[in-house]
Amino acid sequence: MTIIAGSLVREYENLATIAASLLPKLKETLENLDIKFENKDSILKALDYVLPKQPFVPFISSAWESLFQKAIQLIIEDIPSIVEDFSRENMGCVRMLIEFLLESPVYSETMREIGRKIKIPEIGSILELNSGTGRGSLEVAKVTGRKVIGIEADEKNIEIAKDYMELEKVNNVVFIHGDPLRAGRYVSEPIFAILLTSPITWLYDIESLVSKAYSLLEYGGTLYGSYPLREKSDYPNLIEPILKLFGGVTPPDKTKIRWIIEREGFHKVSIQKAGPIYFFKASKI
Amino acid sequence: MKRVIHVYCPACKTQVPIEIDESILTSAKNSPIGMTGVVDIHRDHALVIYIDAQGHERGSRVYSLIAPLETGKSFTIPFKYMTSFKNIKAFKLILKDKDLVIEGYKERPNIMMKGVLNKVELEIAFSKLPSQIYEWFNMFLRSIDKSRDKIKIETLYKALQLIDSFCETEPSEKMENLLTLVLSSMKITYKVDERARKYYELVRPLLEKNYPWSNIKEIEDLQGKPLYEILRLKDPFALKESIEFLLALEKREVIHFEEIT
Repeated sequence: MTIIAGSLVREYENLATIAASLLPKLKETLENLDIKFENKDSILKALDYVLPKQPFVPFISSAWESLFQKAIQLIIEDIPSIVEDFSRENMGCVRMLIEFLLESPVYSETMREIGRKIKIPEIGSILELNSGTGRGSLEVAKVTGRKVIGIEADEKNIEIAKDYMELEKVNNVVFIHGDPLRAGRYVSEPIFAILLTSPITWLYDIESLVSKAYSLLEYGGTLYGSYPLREKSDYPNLIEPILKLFGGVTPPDKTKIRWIIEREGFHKVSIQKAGPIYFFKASKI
Repeated sequence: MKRVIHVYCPACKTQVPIEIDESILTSAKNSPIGMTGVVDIHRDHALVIYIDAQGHERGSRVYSLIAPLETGKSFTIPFKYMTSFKNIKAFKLILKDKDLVIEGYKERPNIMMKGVLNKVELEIAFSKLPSQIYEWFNMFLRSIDKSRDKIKIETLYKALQLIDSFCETEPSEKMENLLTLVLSSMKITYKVDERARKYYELVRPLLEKNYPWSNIKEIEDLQGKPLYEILRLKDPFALKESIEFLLALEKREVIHFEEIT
């Protein structure tokens, strides 16, 4: 069962090609870097698996893709500051990278498409964990017309999200600053859909998030998520080395995530590949 | 009865006409020192003419726009500056800890809204009283209290212009921050963070779409100078957008505000 349309899948595949073309540069930079940090060795190891056989120039078809290429280059240039300063609760200026990704046409359309697929009961709200600068919550709120609660650990991301909400005059979203893994503290209403779709989710242990989502979701509710899974347990995901610069954990493979979701109690699990990202959907019944 | 006196401004080296009306005479009469300072704002300075209760000039002084206001004084914004207000008929601000009174009258109102917070006393007469006006008034009072060590006559005037232009709409949550920043704008500067500036290029198209009259070039050119330099020549609509743009940059850590010491 598809979660997003084939045209969006192709766009994610294009972005993967752009990211892949810069991985040799990432490896070279890391090898020449004097500083040591926790994930350095595991990133270099992962790069050995995912480096393209031959260097290549990716096909860039839009201004946004060109900026995406610059974003990856910027990450590579900025590695010393990222590994030293970046934290999930205080992203610093890297916050703009998250905003850039969330504001991309492909992400906005993905969220609208997910929003259109959510089955809306008579009562209840939608919850997004790791809402970042808010685009996912805003698009889903516009499409469904229902209240969306976005929970985000970085306070300034919340402020930026509120600015977008005000600019776009959306009044059915509530953004809350707090730990997504303790979301129960902030939610007192029935939740019929949970979104774990933003790229910030990719920095979390997916097992903890799925478990939290199950405890917050009403029976009959649906979980939507995305994660850069491994194709096989010993074969790293293409963007895994980049995510590990930001403290990302080693992701499970496709079989493992299905097992994690079902073990938690979810049913009707669907997983769809889109470039290096896997979208998943599951129901609590 | 109104009359006009001509005062020499040593900074501009020109004679400046100053209109003396009843509100100025009343302010001087009510002031403990029997005088009020009439403020005429010039490009980068303010000429303050001291007028007694009889309407006679009792001296003048040029203030740099960033110099602190003298305590124990009363200042009146002349009628010519008040005429541009469409919703505010009069105001009076008393900063008790500084023994400072700043007031302005477009007309002498019968009733003024009054609020007191810590050492700040604020009175404003509005021509209309829509429901949101009380929220605007409270926000303004709180922002004055927060910035009371940094307020200048010019920044107070700019903040009043903002309220006058937007008080018919619902104030947003960030309006209090915005007003505080305007009121403090002569004592606040900012620096552009070089690392963040690189990341800014990724979101630049988004911000330029949302703030079409603002740009990073102007912000970079004026870094290190008082914030007021950006706001000085702007009408209330452009001024609001400028401050919102600066706050958007601050949230993204592209700029960092600093106090001018």
